[in-house]
Amino acid sequence: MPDFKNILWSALIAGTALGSLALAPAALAQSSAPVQPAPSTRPEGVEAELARGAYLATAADCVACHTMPGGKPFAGGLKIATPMGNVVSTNITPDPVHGIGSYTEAEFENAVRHGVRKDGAHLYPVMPYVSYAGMTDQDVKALYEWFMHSVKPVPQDTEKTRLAFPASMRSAMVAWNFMARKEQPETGDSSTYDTVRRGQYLANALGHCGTCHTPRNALMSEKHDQYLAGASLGSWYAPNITSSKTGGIGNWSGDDLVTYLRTGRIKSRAQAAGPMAEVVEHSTSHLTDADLHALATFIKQVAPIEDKLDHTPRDAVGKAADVPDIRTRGPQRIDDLTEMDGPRLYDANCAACHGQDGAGVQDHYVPSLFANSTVGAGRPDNLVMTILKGVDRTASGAHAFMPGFDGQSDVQRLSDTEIARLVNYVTATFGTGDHHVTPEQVNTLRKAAH
Amino acid sequence: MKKEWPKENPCVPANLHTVSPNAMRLARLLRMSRRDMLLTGMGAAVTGAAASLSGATAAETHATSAPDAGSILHSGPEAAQFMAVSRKLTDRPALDLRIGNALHAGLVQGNPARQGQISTLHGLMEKGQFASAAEFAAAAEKADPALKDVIHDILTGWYRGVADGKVVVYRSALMFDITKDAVYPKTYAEGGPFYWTSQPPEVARPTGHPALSPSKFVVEPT
Amino acid sequence: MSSEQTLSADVVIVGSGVAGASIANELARAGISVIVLEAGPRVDRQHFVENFRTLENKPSYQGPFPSVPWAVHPPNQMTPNAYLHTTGPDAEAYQQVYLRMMGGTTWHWAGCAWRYLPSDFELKTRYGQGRDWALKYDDLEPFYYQAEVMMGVCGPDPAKEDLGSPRKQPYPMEALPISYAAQQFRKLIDEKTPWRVVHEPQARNTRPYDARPTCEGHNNCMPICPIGAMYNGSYSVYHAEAAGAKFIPNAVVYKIERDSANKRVTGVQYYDPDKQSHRVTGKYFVIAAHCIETAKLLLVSADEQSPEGVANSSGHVGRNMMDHTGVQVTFISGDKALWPGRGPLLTNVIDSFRDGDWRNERGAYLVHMVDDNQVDLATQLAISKGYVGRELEEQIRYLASHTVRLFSHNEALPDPENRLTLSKTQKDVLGIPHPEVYYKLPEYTVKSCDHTRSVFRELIGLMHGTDEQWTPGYFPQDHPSGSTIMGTDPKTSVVDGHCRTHDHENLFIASSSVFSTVGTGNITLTVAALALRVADTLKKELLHA
Repeated sequence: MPDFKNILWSALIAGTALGSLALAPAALAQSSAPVQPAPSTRPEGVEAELARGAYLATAADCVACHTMPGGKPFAGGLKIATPMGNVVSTNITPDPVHGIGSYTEAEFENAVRHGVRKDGAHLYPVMPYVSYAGMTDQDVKALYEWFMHSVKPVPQDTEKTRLAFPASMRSAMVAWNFMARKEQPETGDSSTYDTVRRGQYLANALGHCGTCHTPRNALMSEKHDQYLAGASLGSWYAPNITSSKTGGIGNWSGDDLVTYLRTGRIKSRAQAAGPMAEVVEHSTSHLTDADLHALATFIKQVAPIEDKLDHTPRDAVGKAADVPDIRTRGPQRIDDLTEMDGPRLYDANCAACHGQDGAGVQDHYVPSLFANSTVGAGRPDNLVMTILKGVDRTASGAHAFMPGFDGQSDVQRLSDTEIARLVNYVTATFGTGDHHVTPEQVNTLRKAAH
Repeated sequence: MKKEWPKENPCVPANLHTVSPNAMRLARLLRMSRRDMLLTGMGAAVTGAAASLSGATAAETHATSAPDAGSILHSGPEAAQFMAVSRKLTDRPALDLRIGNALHAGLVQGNPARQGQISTLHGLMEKGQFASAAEFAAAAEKADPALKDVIHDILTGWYRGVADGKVVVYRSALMFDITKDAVYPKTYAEGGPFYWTSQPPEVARPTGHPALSPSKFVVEPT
Repeated sequence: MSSEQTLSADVVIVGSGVAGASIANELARAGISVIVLEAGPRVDRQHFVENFRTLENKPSYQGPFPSVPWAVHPPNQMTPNAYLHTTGPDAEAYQQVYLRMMGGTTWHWAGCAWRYLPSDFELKTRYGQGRDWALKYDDLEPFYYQAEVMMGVCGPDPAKEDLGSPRKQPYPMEALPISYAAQQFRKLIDEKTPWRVVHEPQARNTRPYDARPTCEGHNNCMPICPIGAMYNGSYSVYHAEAAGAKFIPNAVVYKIERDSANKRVTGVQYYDPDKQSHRVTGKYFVIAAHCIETAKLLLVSADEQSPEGVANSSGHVGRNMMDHTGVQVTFISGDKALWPGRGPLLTNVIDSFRDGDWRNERGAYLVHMVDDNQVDLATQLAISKGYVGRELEEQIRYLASHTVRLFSHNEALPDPENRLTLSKTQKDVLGIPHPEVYYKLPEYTVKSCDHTRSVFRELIGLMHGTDEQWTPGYFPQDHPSGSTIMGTDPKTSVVDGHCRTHDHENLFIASSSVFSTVGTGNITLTVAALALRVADTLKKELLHA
């Protein structure tokens, strides 16, 4: 479980959650199932409403948190580690005893949009009701109907969430809710919105992009004047995705964005890893073309905000290396595990696939390291995280995979010093320069990712 | 066996070879190793064969990005001579100076007499008008049969990346440059999964002739 | 750790290769305490990748692995070396190599993961040759599958390509698409011969598997896969460690202790690199130290109680040494360019000589077309022939694209005269005698190799080959086996059908050393399956005791 702790620490405090949780393949297969309309004898209108609810659940990525790896869909039980203890996601199948089968539509609405349980207790804001508050009445109803009629009831309890004081006081959430700014509910039929409005609805009420990509204020609420300007999740960094041509992604076309959200990658630009890979895998790769274009159109028109560190487009930096592999030593004894310097680490661990020139493989199954937003970023966090954790992303029929090099790797385990040297070599050779990453920084990210 | 284990790693005392029950067989195998046999045989395959170098060969694609004129001064006249002789022997207008300097250092370090022979080769080259590597190499062997060895060393350096029995460059060796349209150096593959199912380029039967007399090919037994 | 301290565990395993590590993993996951003693050091991949690239003699697959003085392994294949001494008429055909380090010799195997045929287990019954195993194919089938899942084996759909070993489950991964060169070879065999080429089952990823990437065809399975797409024993070491097994590297076991009745093993003793002695006790012991080292350890442990060595009341420890000693030829194809060396090394096999009635008089065999990059050899050769400049380059391209190499795995038979003993003159730095093997190729294998040569000649003709070069004599395949042979009769065998030694009830052996016959497929998958079966036996006895 790579990055729960920090992503969800901010989420816990700030009030939204990201659909970014690793799921077992079994659960993944099931997560896409709701998109398929269920065969039934119900009237056409009901059928359409259920299909709409299924699609909304995918766009809002409910399954990501409410399903354990290998567990039954929506039966909850996923432990989300926070510094205050584990938050355990609940069973939201329509089982009347263990799930939400006894919820009326109004009670469901109160939970989804306001964070209040049927029994009146306040939900922890790991549940992203601050975002879901923006959903239309019609969509909340469709979601409700779908959960009640299409999700299979699972009669099974989850562990109780037990947090340390003061977070154990659910009532404290009342005060936080007062401070936190919520989305205002949209009105009407969300499927008839014009492109920008539909995109905004998908981005904010459902997909909650800002949860990660918008920095937060001292009270850990999103800074709305810095909408999508980029923020650290403690481990991975959610970059500036405003329309700034230097600090954001203003140099991407709408089609680029659509390709990225559907497949998780754009050749010679960017690849989704970490939490974003999971968002693509579980949610955006399942959206319709029209919705992806709407989302892209909306993101493209978000006000540009310059970045503090990225002053050239992250994905337009660097060039192929041209260095002969001059060797000065013969084979060393098998027990010589001396830490190597950056160029040797790159040669021994990366060059086999990325090439000594960094160009990757021909069809970018292995991406190039120059013209690569992860390497060209002013912040090396995501490069460190990618080396530690690798990439594992299945979207649109393609499985992108790079092994991690952390302490669990079967391929190669690299020390903090080695990763720091490697990152500095890679950014100096293919990116914006040597970032002077220290082993301590790597260690911080390594620990944060556990 | 021309190579010992690295001296700092004496995992097997060398003198054990002489007292082991295998000593006699060792001697026999050294005379005729598997690779020795294999490679000597392969040689006959194309000797004297006639056809023309396919247009698809990489012979024209080898321009390297490192101009070797500018920094020669830093490496002294011997290095410049080495580069000039190397260009002639490879029929290449440009070679990578960084590799050249490393090869030159390796060749001379392992065998100090090599520098004199390289200078001799350079002198011959300056005096004559040689249209090709083949003409030059043949003339050099005719002038002094001992020059064949240094020509082998220079070619082994550039094409295999090996000088004095040590690897100076691996993937950057010219043998991989001239075959890069078909195969990758082992451990470096940039085709992605299953690239190997596609058809590689055809190669015409060579037309050229050896410029030098053949040599016994001695390699380590493997 | 001081030498006075005694370590103890439920199960003590000697050797951390695929056999030892997979047993450790299974037991640790079942909550059983395990200590694994490995003679060699901890190692990692990146240094081997670098070692390979800096190695001048690239075909030397031991070359990237210079051993440590306290756990020497043979420095080179095919070369008489100062560690494993071979004697006898076919001494050079038994120059086996292996690796003594964490993870074992699968660091440089080529991933060929064959199940044996049902007939391989009953050679005596079916063909009147060799011996029968003390188990049947069906006994091992579930463990074959468990081993395939553990390693990540890709292979053909049995409905399309039946490899002769009945399967209850499909291969964990789809078969590897074969290279252009292999496709052409396969086409030729299909069209011009009565034989067939099959996909070789391989412990190699054809999709991301077990947190390791898909094979990208670096053509370097031997000596080192640079990306971990191929299984090696180190993964099982890591998984076992994560499950709580304790691995002690640089622990050279030199003594197996027994109780006064000589029925139970009570402990083992090992030297650290400074020759400090340590003792480890346990309830069960597994020797999983490779065929050569396992027999050596049993013999080295000889004492007054067992003057012929541990587990050796039969006198068969060290005897019945086998391999897949084969034939190798290289030639220049007169057909289209093949460019061998694109993709993994070994992907396709002629399996038409794997079984048949003729096994009553000559051994079976497999034929590999080796898909090995020939650029370096072509270059050395072209230079030695006197080519320079442009002519040199056209020679390199031609030779590198037209060289074909074939080799075979030929079946041996267990012959007690083919015997491993302890060197009387040679000792390592710890004072442990070196192993010495007498080897005479069985007539059964000689006949098999003769048959192979005739098939190779036919193939050379079909490919319009010239300049064929036969490897002199026979070609060792580094599949040593038989040194602690399995059987039902304690008088003529060392272990029973569960790999338990007849002499010591709590001593098991997990190695190709238990093979009763050697079949034709590469031995590793069978070693792993037998090891997992040992783990299963141990779990039953320990958890239900």
